[in-house]
Amino acid sequence: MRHSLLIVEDDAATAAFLADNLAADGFKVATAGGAGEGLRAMEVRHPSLVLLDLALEDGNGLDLLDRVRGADGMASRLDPDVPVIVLTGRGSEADRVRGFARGADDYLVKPFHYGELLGRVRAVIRRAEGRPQRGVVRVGELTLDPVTRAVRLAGRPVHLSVKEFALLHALAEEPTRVRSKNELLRDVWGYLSVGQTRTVDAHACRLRKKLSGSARPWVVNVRGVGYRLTEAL
Amino acid sequence: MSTALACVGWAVSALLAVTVLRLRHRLELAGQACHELRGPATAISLAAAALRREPGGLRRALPFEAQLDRLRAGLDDLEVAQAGRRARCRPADIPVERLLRATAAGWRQSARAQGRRLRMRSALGGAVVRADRGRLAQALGNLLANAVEHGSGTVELRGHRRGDLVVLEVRDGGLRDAPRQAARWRQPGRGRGRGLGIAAAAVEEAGGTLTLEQREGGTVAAVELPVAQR
Repeated sequence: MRHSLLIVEDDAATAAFLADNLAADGFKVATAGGAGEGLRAMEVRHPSLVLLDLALEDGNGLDLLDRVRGADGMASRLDPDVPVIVLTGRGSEADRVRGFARGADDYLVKPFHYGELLGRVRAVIRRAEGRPQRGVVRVGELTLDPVTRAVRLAGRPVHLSVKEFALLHALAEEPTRVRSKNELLRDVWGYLSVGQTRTVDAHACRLRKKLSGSARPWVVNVRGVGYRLTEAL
Repeated sequence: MSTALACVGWAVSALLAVTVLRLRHRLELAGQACHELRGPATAISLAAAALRREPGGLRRALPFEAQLDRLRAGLDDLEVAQAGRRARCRPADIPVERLLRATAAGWRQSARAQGRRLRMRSALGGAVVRADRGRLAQALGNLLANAVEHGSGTVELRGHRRGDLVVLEVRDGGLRDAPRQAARWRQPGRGRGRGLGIAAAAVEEAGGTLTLEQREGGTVAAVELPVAQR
C-alpha cells in the first residue's frame, strides 16, 4: 500500500523538490502552501503523515498542530493522531522541546539530508501503523467514517460493499480530481499491471446508483479518463 | 556638582540603553538572515537529492555534497553565534574517502576556472573517522579553498592510513605567505587567516591535528585524524 504524505510548506521550491523526491521513493504526495490550505487538505485527504513547516505565511505551524491534536476525531474531519514531522529552520533546544510538547512526532532542522528525512518518515509511519484511522471525511452532504465504515448522504445511511466503500474513500481524498481507472485499479484493487477490465466501471456504476437522489451528481465519469467524486465544491 | 554627576549618569545610562537596543536589533537581523538562508539551502539540498536519481546524477550531485555539509555547519554556527557560542559538535561515523571525493568534486571547477588542476589520490579504502560531518567538510573545504585561491600549480588532495590514523593532505605548488598564515591560526577574524583557523578548530574538535608545512616544491596542509574504533 502506498502511504500518502502531505507537505505543508510555503517555500515553493522546497515543497516541489521534496514532493519529487518522496514521490520517487514510492509515496503519494500532496502539497499545501499555507496553514489554512494544510488544514483543509488534512480534513479531506487523511494523509498517513504530515511534513509541517512552522513559519507559514498565513499562520504558525504550531498553531495548526494544536488544531490537529485538539480535534475530537469524530465530529471533526481531522485525525488528531496523524503523525506529524516538523521541518523548520528553528533549531534551538527550546524550539525542539516546544515542537515535541505541542505534539510533533519528530523534528528536523533545515537544511536536512534528504536520506535522513526519508529514514525518519519511514520510521514514524512504521510506528504509526496499526493505529485506528480516525476522522470523518465530509464532502458536501456526503460523509464517510473510515472507522465505522458508515456512509451517509444528507443524513441518510448508504450501505456499500467493501470495494464500493474503498472506491468512494479513494475518490473522496481529492473529490474534484479526476482519478484514472488505472490509478483506481492500483490503489483500490491493488492491481500492479492493468489489462482490459470493466471492474472500475461496474463498481462506479453501482456506487453512483446508491448515491442518487441528491441534487449533486456523484461519481462523475470523465469519458476516456476515469472518475471524479463530484464537480467543483 | 551632584546635578552634573546625575546628568553624566543619565547620559551614560541612555548611551547604554541605545547600545543594547542596537545590539538587539543586529542580533534580530542576524537571526532573520539565518532563517532566510535555511530555506534556499534546503531547496538546493533537495534538488541535489533529486539530481542523484537521474542517469549519471550521482557524479553530478557529488560537488554539492561537501559544500552543503559546510553550509549546514556554517548556518548552525551563525545561529548560535548570536548567543556568543559555536554550534555543538555532532560526531558521527564518516567514511572519509567519500567526503574526500565530494570535497574534491566541489572545488575542481574553481581550480579549472583559475587554469589550475585538482587531483585526488586516495588509499583510504573504507576507513571511517568519528567526527562532525559539517565540521570536517569545513576543514577540508577551507584548506582546499586556500590552496586553490592563494596557492600555485596543481592542487592535490591525498588520503592514506598511517597506523591508527587517517592522513588527509592538501598539496600545492606553494603558498606565498604560509608561515605568516600559520602564525594567524589562533587569531580568529584576521582576514585570510580565518579559513585556516576554522579548519584547525574543526580538526581539533575531531581529536586530530592540522599542520602546515612549506616544503621543497610546495605547501602541504596535513590533517591527521584517529580512525574510528568499531
